[in-house]
Parts: sequence; structure tokens; C-alpha cells
Amino acid sequence: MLLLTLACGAPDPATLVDELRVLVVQSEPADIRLSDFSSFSEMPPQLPSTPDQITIPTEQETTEPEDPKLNIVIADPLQEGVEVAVWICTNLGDGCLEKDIYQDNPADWIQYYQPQEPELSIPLPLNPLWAGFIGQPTESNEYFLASLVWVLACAPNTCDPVTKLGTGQVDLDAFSDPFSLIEQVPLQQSSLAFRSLYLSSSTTSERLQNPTITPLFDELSLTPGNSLSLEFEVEMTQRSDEAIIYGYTTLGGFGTNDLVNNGLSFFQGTTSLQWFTTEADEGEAQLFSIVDDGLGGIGYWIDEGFVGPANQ
Amino acid sequence: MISILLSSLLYAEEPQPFGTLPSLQYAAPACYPDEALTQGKGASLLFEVLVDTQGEVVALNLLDSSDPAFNSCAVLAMQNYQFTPATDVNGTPVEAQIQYRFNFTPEEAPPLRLTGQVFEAGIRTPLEGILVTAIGPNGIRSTAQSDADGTFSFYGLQSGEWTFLTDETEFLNADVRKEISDSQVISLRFDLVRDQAKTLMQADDTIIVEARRETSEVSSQILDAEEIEYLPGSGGDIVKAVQNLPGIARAPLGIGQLIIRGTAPEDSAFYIDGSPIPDVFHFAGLTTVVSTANITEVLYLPGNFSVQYGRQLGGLVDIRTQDSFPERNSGFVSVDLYQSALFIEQRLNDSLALRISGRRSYADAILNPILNSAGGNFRTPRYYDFQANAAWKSSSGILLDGLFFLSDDRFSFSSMSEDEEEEVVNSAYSKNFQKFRLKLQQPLSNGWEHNAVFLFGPEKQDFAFQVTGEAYEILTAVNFRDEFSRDIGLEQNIGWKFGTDIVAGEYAFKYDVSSYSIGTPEEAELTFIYPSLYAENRWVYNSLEMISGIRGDAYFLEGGTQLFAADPRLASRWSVTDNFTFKAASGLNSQSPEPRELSAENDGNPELVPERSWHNVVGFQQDLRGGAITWGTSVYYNQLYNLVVGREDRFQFFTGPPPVGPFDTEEYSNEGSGRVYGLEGEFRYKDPTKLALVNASFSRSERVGRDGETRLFRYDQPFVVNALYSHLLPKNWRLGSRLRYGAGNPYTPVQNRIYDLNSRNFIPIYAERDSGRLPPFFSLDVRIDKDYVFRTWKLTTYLDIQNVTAQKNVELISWTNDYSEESPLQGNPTFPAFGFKGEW
Repeated sequence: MLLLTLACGAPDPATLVDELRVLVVQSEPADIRLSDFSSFSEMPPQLPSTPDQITIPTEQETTEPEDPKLNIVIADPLQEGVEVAVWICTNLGDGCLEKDIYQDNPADWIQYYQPQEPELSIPLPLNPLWAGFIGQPTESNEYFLASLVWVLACAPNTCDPVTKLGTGQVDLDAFSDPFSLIEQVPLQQSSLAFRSLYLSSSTTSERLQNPTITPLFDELSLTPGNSLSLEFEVEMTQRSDEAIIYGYTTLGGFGTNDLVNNGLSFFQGTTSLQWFTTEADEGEAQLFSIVDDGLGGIGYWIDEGFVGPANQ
Repeated sequence: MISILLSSLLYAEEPQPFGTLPSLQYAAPACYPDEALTQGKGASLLFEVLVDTQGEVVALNLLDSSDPAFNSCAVLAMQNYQFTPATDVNGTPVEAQIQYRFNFTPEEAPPLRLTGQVFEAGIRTPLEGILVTAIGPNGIRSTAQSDADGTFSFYGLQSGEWTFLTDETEFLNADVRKEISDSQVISLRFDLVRDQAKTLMQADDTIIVEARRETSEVSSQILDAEEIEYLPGSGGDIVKAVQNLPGIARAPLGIGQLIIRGTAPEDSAFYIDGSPIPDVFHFAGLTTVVSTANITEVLYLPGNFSVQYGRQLGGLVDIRTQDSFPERNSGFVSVDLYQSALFIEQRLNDSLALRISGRRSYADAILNPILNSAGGNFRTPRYYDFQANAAWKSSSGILLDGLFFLSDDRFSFSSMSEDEEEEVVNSAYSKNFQKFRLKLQQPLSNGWEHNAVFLFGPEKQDFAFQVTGEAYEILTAVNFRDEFSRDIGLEQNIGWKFGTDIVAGEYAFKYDVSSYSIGTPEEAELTFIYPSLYAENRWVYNSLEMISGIRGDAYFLEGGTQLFAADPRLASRWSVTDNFTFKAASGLNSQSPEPRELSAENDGNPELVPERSWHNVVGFQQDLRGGAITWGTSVYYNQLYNLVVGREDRFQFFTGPPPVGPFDTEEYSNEGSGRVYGLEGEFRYKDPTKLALVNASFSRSERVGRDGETRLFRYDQPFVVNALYSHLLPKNWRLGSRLRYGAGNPYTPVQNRIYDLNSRNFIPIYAERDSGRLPPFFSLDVRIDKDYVFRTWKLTTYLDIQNVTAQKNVELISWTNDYSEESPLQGNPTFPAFGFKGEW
């Protein structure tokens, strides 16, 4: 019965973000090559014991690279403020390999932020391990996906490991095993999320591109108990059967975020999300639209809306 | 016929002189024995008669009779004689005792005026000994009594309107008015509606207790079909009533599976006439897969059972099918909210009888159109079953009984493909079996008996998920049990039982549901043979009874796997007094690992050994008030060892909600163990119209995993209390109530969650396994039955209301989509089930 109800156009509670949540981790560019880093030529190859057969790339790009960055979107509907830890973990089964690499300078591995806006854009640090794992330049577009970007967002002074991180104390053991780390933070007022980095040694000119999403509307206000269709223009350079647009809001809700309702079957075109509110909803809302092309690219859109009587 | 008043005897509490003596006002006509009339015989009888102040005969004493054949006619007539009462010297009526001579002369035999028959309504059986009273003009009376054919006759009734009444001793009263004339003989038929409450009260003025059949087990319960058919919550299903017995925990979601003494439903077994069947309940435990009409009794053994049973760690339920010949042809049709059933029993001749029954649920017929009106394609749960039984009994007592029975349950949810041309199954589940059982009972010499049961047929359960996911288990097996036994008797105090129990066949399985499991798909077809031998001795010395036995099981699987187990068992009963029995038992049980767990080609471990349990119990039972009250307690301690652990992340068919992590994902091994201990108490009261059962179970069930840590078992329920009451009221009403209260099942709470931004799904991080517990369960059920009996059939109606207090019991814990909050799933809503059953 639930399935039928949702299919008929009611909002899906899963699209309502009513507490702190990391919503997006996007790398720019969508795929990461070592040559993208300006510091790559200075990087010493480092690798723990595995794997055994590692070949360090010797060829260097001649073009001036633009350093990759990470764009992180965090919804904070309660507006309590947020402190964030961001780190990259390459785990082959025994915890983050970075733990040994950054033993002496952990602050270079686990970064601490206190963003004031939902969107946080930070440089993606070059990980010394990658040189060993990615291997020699190749013309194939295969990706090394074992490095995950982890983001732990907490309301201020809620999560001990993050709060200590803000004071310069880094608990390497805790952060090197995120599945144990989560047991140290409260269920409420925290959000731990991860996303794979698409690492490659490809030398081809073809690269993953993050989709772009552009709103085709101006007004984002809605009276309680009504709905509003939000139309977007989406552009992707790759197409897959898994491409989908997600809608999230801090007030009201969207339809179910699944391929049946929100699948995208085009490279470029328009699509819409239906924003619903209930009679009880009123106030400012943050709205998020995220396009995942299913191949590694992520695009997103953030804006603020308002739910209230029509004359306001 | 001449009646002569011979004399009067003064009689009063305080002797005093009479003014006048009683004088006859009305002499009711008496019947005249046919044979005596034909032979022209007469008779003379002398009565002592007590006449009350109204002139009515209140007591009769036959002092002398020249021919006993006339006695009953004279008594029936004299009961309706009317006198003018005796008076004292002041003219006040007083009681008086007189002697009265009753003479029969054939010349004055009264003419036959009315003849009739009395039958019991519904079952159409002639009733013997029913008194029929005729009340005629001016209130004059006459009485007749039915004979073995139910026939009764009235003679010499005056012309006019008469009312005919039947006695109300066991039946609801019936009256008919008839115009009697001198010119014709009226015929009359009564179909009397039996009042169960009156019947049972009349049967004996002391309490009636059904004889309990003795079994080899010290902890056993035998449920009689008639005893529990009307218990609330069971829907008339006698196997479901087992759920109310001590030692049974309530299954999650109330799906009817049996959690016996802290073991999983998978560890207990269901039998039919001693041979295993795959399942005993349809979906959600709604009803048993065999029609109640085919069942005579249900044997519930929570542990320490006879060596004739084996291959399981927990308890068992053995359904005993009808093995008696029907006395008449009968049948019934029943209809309720979710199913209809039909039963026909035909006695073909004195040695051959046939029974056919079937049942079909129709929730799907109602719900499917509603659910699918919005475009879905649901196949809501539906089931059916069928049984055909033929029994042949020889004059020498050999019974050959064949039973074919099948059961089929299934549901599915599917959708149409994108091109709208193909139906795509989203998820589907089915479970079915078809079995043929042949049973031979053969009495031998010297008290020995030969029993053989042959059971053959396939059984299958199948799960399909989306396009590619599929899992099934198919067992095609032959079970054969051959047993020779001699029970103890008057002449011997030693009983024996020797038997073999063999199951052989092919087991095919496939588990390829990637959404539900990790690891490579598993698939195999394995042939197997599991033979066993058992022997049991029963020895009685005075008040002490000892039962000792041993069972040897072997397990041979294709591929060379060979497992062996020997299970010695000992039980004793000591009747300290006639109504106080002390009992104790100890015994080993073994259970083979699942074929998948032994299959080396499917990540199994062929080095596994049988799982073992060691059952120990002590207790007592006391019968009071001639057995009307029974109470007792049992304390048990069951040790489990060699339990198979590992691969918990693989797909499995669970009888309840599947467990959640953290899982032991390593290779299968026998490193698991556990223990279950508890105390059970039961109180039972039964009289002809009332049945009351109260029982309480306190237990703890623990398991030790590969890591050596002790955890609560996922079906642990520390306390369960059941109270049932059923009361048979006059006019065939019956009122019953059931109260259940028990601890909730353990569950694994979610400690936190991680958001996977690749799939945009939350990954729950669970706390310690089964470290949470659901709130206690409470339910009060009420049932009302009423029988309406017609001339040739009987209609039984019932209203069974479950959870009348609308208690919101938590059955499962689910979570919000982001696992931030628990979202309890409540079950057992107030549910009024109405049904009726027509019997003939």
C-alpha cells in the first residue's frame, strides 16, 4: 500500500531532511588524475606493505594542472551550526592505510572546518598512496575506487573526535576506522557519510564530467498544503541507465527518489521535481537537487524557498 | 381395565386422623404391551402411592406385579393419575399414602390414538427413553416413553386438542398440538435439539474427567479435539491451541510457529502419525494444513520425548489422525472471513470408510482487486489444502489407513515491464507439499503390536526476488517407520518398543538472491539416506515406572559425508500417591546440519558433526477432586552443543523475521553452544461445562557464538502467561476467553548509521546482537459460540474477537529511512472473526 501511495504523488518522508545531514560530496574534476595536482611532481612515492608490485609513474604532464577540489554540501535544518572533519581513507581491509602515512602530521590528513554555509569547497589534498595504487599511465578509463572521502559533520561540541580535532588533537585510531568512529558519536546531531573518489591514471582526453543542473524557475515560495513543480535543465556528458535526479528539502518533501520516478534518460534536457508541503509546514526551507549520472559524476543545486501564506 | 382402591394408610408428618381419603378423579389411559395383548394376557400390579394436597401423584412404589412386562405402562399411567386429596378432620387437604391395585385386562385395552418417533436433531439418531407427555382437555395428562427405535405410542386419549411435550432433561423442550379423534391414529415426529450443557450436567452428578492416555514421555500434553475446539483465538483449530501450552513462546508477528523451550522454530518438528511433515500451519499461522475433522488428538512434547522421535534439538508436535470408523455418514461446510472448508465422511461398509476434506482461503479474491486498482499487481497470500483418507479394518483388527494430503501457500508482487508486455516478479514466495501416508496397525500375539507408517511426497519452498533472484529448497523423500511394541498390562510389567525410522531421497537447493546475501550463489542436488534404529524399555514396579531407550542415527549424504549419533534417553515416573506423580527425565538428541552446510561445493564444511542437545527435566503433577483439577510444575535445563555457526550473511528461509547483523560470516563450524533453562507451571480445571487453563513459563535461552561470547537467543522470552476459560451455557451457547501476556522478543537496536553517498542509502550500525527487547505482549481474546440445531443438520456460529482491548503490541522494530528513529511495527489489531459451520 505504501508503494502505491507514494506512486500517486504524495511526498516521500525520505526526501525530508529534518536533521544534520551530509548531502553531497563532489570532486572537481569528477575523475582524479595525479597530473591534476600541481604538487604531484614533488610527491615522494609512499606505500605501505601492500600491494607488492608497485610501479611509480615517471611521466609528468607538461600542461599546468588545476588543483582538484572537493565540494561538500551539508544540510543543517536546525541551524545549530556545524563542525566538519574531512579525510580520505584507502581501506584494503585493515583500516585506513593513511594512518601510517600521516602518523607525524595527522592534520594534513584529517581536515577540520566550521562552514557557515551549506556548501563547503575545499582543496582535495594529494594522497601519497595514490601514486602507488594508480600505477602507470594507461589509455583505459578504469578507476581505482578504494579511496573514499569521509565527512563527519556534527553540531558544535557534539562529537568528541571532531571537537578535539578543532583543538588540534587528532585521534588517528578513531578516524582510521570510520565504522568504529561512528560508535563514538551520538545518533542525533551528527552525520557521517562517504563517497568514492574516481582515481585514474588514464592519459586519454576523455574524462568524467560532473553534470550541471540549472533551475528554470524564479519563485520558490509555496503556500502550506500545496505543491510546486520545479523544472531543471540538466546536462550530462555521459549517459547511463542509472542516471537520476534527487530532491531533498528541509520543509515538506518530494516524490520518491528512485529510478522509476526520477530516472534521467537523456544527455541534455529538462526534468522536474514536485515540491510538496503540508498544512503544518511554514517558514524558510532549503531545497537541494542532486543529479547523479551513475558513472561517477555529480551535479547539485541549492536554494532557499519559503512556505507561508500567499501575501508574504 | 379395572382399578381398585384397596386401602388407605394414614401418613403424615404428624399423624392425625383423616376426614376423607383420596378418591380417583382421572385415570390416565395406560399403554398395553403389544405381545400381551396379542396373547390375551392380563396383569395385576399393586402400588404404594403418595398423593399430595393437590391430589397429584408425587411418588410411586411398585409393591407387587404379576407380569413385569406391564410395569412401565402402569407406572407411566399412574404418574398422571389425578385424585381428590385427602382431608383432615377439619376438611383441610393433607398428603396421604395409599395402596392402589392396577389391573390390566385385554378386553379393556385402550385403542391406539397416536404414534410417533423421537430423533436427535442434526445427527438424526433415534432417541431411546425420552418421555413424551400429552396434556389434554381440562389438563388431563398421559405419558409415553420412546423405545430403542425412538418410537412412542399413546392409547385411549380422549377426543380433543392435546399438547405433546418432550422432557427437558437433556434437550431443549419441544411441544406440538394435535387434534385427537376416535376415528384415526395420528403420527408425530420430534427432532430434539440437544442442550450440551444439560447433557453434560445430567451425565453424572460428579465431575467427569476424560481418561488421559499414558505416553512414554514425562512432559507431554495431549489435546483432545473436542476439548479445545471452542477455545478463543484458535478459530476452532486444535493445533493452534498448542500455542497456549506451557513452554511455548509466542512467535514474532504471531505467525503461529512454535518456539518450544527456547529453541528456534527450525529446531522443532511437526509429525503426522509419527512421520515428519514440513509445516503444520498455513500463512501467518492462520490454520493447520490438515483439517481438524481428520485429527483426533495433538500430542505436544516440549522435550525428553520417546526414542521413536529424533533428528531435532527442540520439541515436537505429533498430529494423530482419525483411526476409528465413523458410526454414521457425516460432513460439514464451514465459512469464515478468510477461508471455507468442506469435510465429508462416508462409511462405505462395515470395514471400509472414506473421508475427504479441503480448504481454500479467499483473502486474495477480495484483496487483489482492491490493491491492484491503483495499477499494481499483487497476489496476496492465499492457501489451500486437501486430504483424502480411506481406512480399511479387518475382522481380526488389522487397520490399513491411506491418507493423501497436500498444502499450497503462495503470494507475489509483480509489475509490468516497461513495454507493458511482460509481467516482472518483484517478489514471490510459495511453499507447498504433496504427501501420501499409508499406516498399518496390526495386533500380534502376546500383546505385541506392529505399526508401520510409510510417507512419500515432495515438498518445496521457493522465493523469487526481482528478475534474477531465486532461492528454493526441494525435498523429495520417503519416510518409513516400522515398529513392534508391547505395552505393559495386567499380566506383565515390562513393555518394549523396537523400531526403525528411515528417511531417504533427494534434497535440491538454490540460493541466488544477491540482494539478500553476500557470496557466491549456492546450488546443489544431493541424495541422502538417514537410517535410524531405536529400542525402548518400559518397566513398572509398584508405583515406579522407568522408561529407558536408545536411538542411533546415521546420516549419509552424496559425496561421502557420513555422520553418526547415538542418543540414550531415560525417564521415570513415581506415583507417590494415587494423585501425586513425581517425574524426571534426561536424554540426548541430535540434529544433522543442513545439506548446504555440509556441501563442500557451496562454501559448506563436510567436517561438521551433528548438533546436540541434552534435555533434563524434573517435575510433579497432582490431581485433585477426582482429577477435575490438575496442577504441576516442571523445571528443565537443556544444554546445546556442537551448534553450527557461520555464514549468517547468506540467504536463508526464516520462519520469522530475518535477523540483522552483526553476522558471523566465517566458515561453518560446530563452535556454537547454548543453554536453555526454565520453570513451567500449569493449572487445569475441567468439569462438564467449564474448562480453565492457566500456565506460566519462565525461561532463559542463551547462545554462545564462535567468539565465545554469551548472548540471548533471538527467540528468548523470559516469561509467558496464558489463561483460557471456556464455559458451556444452556441452550447451546458457549463463551470463552483467552488472556496472553509475555515478554517481547529480543531485537538488535541501531546504534548509528553511515550515509553511503554512492548509493544514497544509509548503512545501519547495529548495537550488540539482540541487546534490545520489544515491549511485553498482551492480548485478551473473547469467543462466543452458538449452535442452532435443525432436523437434519446443525449450524454452529461463532464470533472470535482477538485483542478486544486494542492493545498496541509491538511485533517488530523497523526504522525511519535514515535510521534516526525506531519505527515500531504494531500487530494484532482488534480483529473480529465471524464464521459458521454447517454439520450433517
